[in-house]
Parts: sequence; C-alpha cells; structure tokens
Amino acid sequence: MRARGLTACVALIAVLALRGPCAHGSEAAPVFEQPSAGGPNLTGKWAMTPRITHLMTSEGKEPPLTASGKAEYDKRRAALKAGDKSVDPVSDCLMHGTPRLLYAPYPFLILQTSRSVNFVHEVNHTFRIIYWDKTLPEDPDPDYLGYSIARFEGPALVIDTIGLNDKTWLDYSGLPHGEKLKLEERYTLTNPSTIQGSVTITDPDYYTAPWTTRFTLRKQPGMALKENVCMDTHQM
Amino acid sequence: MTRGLTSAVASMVAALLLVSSAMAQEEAPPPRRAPPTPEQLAAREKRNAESSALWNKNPAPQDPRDFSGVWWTRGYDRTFRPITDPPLPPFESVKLLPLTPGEAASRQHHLDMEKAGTPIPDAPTQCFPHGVPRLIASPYPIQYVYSPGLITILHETAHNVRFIHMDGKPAPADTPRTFLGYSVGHWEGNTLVIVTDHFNDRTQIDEEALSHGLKLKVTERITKFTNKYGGAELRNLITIEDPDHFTQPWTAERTFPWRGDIRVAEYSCEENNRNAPVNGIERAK
Repeated sequence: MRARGLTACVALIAVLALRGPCAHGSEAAPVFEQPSAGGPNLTGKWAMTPRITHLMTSEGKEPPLTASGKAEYDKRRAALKAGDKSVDPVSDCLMHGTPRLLYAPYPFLILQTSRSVNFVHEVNHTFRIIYWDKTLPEDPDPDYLGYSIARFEGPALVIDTIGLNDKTWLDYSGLPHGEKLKLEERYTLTNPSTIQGSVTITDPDYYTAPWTTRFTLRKQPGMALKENVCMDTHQM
Repeated sequence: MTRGLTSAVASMVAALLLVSSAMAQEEAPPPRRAPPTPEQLAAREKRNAESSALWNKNPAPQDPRDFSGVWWTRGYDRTFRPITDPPLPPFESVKLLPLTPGEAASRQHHLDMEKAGTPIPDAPTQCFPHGVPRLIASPYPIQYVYSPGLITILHETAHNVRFIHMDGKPAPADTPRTFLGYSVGHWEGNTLVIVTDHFNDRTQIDEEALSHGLKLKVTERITKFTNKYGGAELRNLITIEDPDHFTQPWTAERTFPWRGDIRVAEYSCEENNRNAPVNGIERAK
C-alpha cells in the first residue's frame, strides 16, 4: 500500500473531528505542461499484433545481458521450464510494470489529452498517467510503472521513464532489470490504424549496452474494455 | 508511488482505521465534544481558504461541462446516508434509510459481525474493484479523462477505472455483470448524468454495512460549481435503487474539490494487501 494511505487515514481522523478539508498537498503546485503542437493523436483502442513474449533487439538478437543479468535470466527460464510459474511476479497479480504491460495479451486504450497521455490497460485495470513535463524528477521513489514524461519528436510520441522498482520482468520470458532501468518508448502512427513502436532499454547493471526492441500496434474497433480482475480470475 | 509501509506504520494505520470505525458508529450518541470556539472556526476557515487557493493555482477548466483533471473528496465517510434539507447528523439520517426488512437484518448482521471483531469482507479487502457507489466514497484522488464518446475516471485507489459511455447507446445485450457495472452518461444542461447497472452482487453500497443485489441501479448527477472559497468543486448526487434492498430510491451526496496541486499516484493493492481476509475473515494485519 502506498504512503498516501497513511496520510489519508490521518486526514480522516482530522476530518471526522473537524469536517474541514485536509491540509494535504501543501508542497508547491506543479506546473502542468501542454504538449507541443503538431504531434500525432494516438487516442484509440490498440492491441499488439503479433504478440511478443520474448523481447529481441531490433537486429533480431538476444538482449546484451551482463554476466549477472544472464545468471538471473537463466535461473528464471529454468524455473519456468520446470513448470514453476510462481517465480513470475504477475502470478501473484502484482502489476506487470513498464514496459511488460505493453506485452500483456490484452487490448489497451491510449487517451491522449492536453493534460496527460493515459494508457488504460484491460489487464487487471492497470493505468499509466504520463504528463507533458519537460524534465524527469531526479530521484523518484521506485514503483511498478515508474515516473514517465511525454513529448513529441517529429511524427513520434516519445515517453521517457525512470523510477521503476526491480520487482517486475521486462517481458514474459523473464528478462531482468534493476532500479537503474531507463526506458524510452517511441510510438509512430504509420497509418490511421497502425503504430510502429519501440522501447530502448538502458540498465548498466543488467545489460552491457542500451538496446532497442520493436513492436506493432493495430487499432481495434470501439473503445470498450472488459473488466479484468486478476485477484478474481488469477489470469494475467 | 507504491511504497512498502513498515509493519509498524501498517499497524498504526490499522489502529487509526479502528478508531475511525468507532467514531463513525452513527448509533452512538453524539460526541460530547465542546463546539469549536469562534476563534477556532475562523482559523479553520482561514486554513481552508489557503488550501483552496493552492489547489486552484492550476485552475480547473472553465467550461462547466469539462471535468478534465484531478479532484479529491474531503476526508472520508464510510457510510452513505440520504441527504436532507436541512442536513441532519448521521445518527438521525441513518433512520431515513428506506431499508427492506431483509436489508435491515443484513445491515444489523454486518454491524454485529464488525463489533465482534470479525467483519464481513468487503470487495476491496480482496483487491477487487470497489463497486458503485462504494468507489465514489474513496478518499483518494481521481482524474477525469475526456475522449470522443467516452469519459474515463481513473481512481488512485486500487487502480479502479470507470468508463462512462457517452455515445448515446445503451449497454450491449451481452454486457456481463461486473464489479463496476456498465455506465451510460448524458448531459442535462451542465449536469453529467450517469446511469450504471449490470452489477454483480459482490460489492457493498458503503463500507459500513449496506448491501445490494443484482437489481442495483445507480444514477449520478455530477455538476461543477464554485465553492465558498472560490475554488472549483464537483457535487455528485447519487441515487440508489434496488427494490430487493430498499423500499424506494434514495439519494446520497459527495463533493470533490478541484486539486490542481496533485497528481494521481500509483496504488498497488495487490502488493502487501493489509486487509486480505484470512479464512474468510477480514482482519487488519
């Protein structure tokens, strides 16, 4: 549970007693940046086609794991091969994390607005809210989805992410990462129903060099997502 | 951001929740606390005005139909009660709940079980979506996101997501019953009217004791207004209908001040769920 729970509970006591607003968010108000003009509009319902379970580099090679990265990866692969799914964090319904959420076999909405870009995934109703900030914070507290900022670069929407915890896998095959992970996602609309995307992964503790992996998203009809509750169905 | 709380802090939270439960027992006589002095009242109003100024530094959209952005209800009330004019204290308004005999018995059972230290698990204790209207009471920030034909409400609490279908079409014939139901919205003047049904029967109306069944229909009327501190605020009038539990529809209220100063953060219920039931019994860990 996150720290706001505690604050909310304290506020709750105060409010029950005082019936006034809690004195929350007293830090300086953040500036909400607007997107620059002329970028693509990616709003719609999307699905990755074909599905990718094992990330490869854009050159079609295995990712450049460090020795310790390879040791961890081999351990996970061996466990999965032996049928032990419990090594996979999503088996406990933990969030897929970024970027693995993209590779979950479920559709998702991109809701692009002047206030934020929102990725709303069907799988376990998980969402990312990405602001048009110009800079990343220096040392955000690590969590599953990380701290992301968005910008347009030519025809591409570019999302930079840091602040990821080390509890997630990069993909369904078990590729590891640590808290130093930095991501750059790029989304380019190549026609009204196709996005060519890529993720560049930088994590010196697990990979000898930054590497890029590619994917294709196809637009789906409508905007409806099903209610998907992992804790109820245990299917991720 | 998800931050693992230490067990010490978690127990503190649990203790606070227990205290708050006790404080919210509306059958208890009103607390014999001295009413606030004029000085205390003035100080509170000053604090509220200062907070409101900060919250509205990044202002809410001007368009009365545009709710895009972050809102956060004040405090937490774990009960829904019928609104009255003039407002009544909770221990009075609770008597106005139009309970069927079955719901009255069910409600008493919930209260008794909680008093015995073995509360009946509520959906969110298992990281299931809260249900509606239960979710509306959540004391966490929410963000409205507008897109063509759809209003999405992103709730920080346990990453609940509500989709309000604004395309004028009714729920498709094969719509399944779900925790959050199927919501169809339309505008009446500058009021967003949301009708939600197709619920499953696995959630509660409120955190305390009110239940519902498959016939639940919830109508929300959400209007933006300027509060007495000059800040933007949403008022949601929530009408609850379920003939198997209530003898007539009744309407509760929640308000949500604009919060231009904050962002909706990540909340992982599934990690370190402190409220997970053990052998079907809810307990604070």
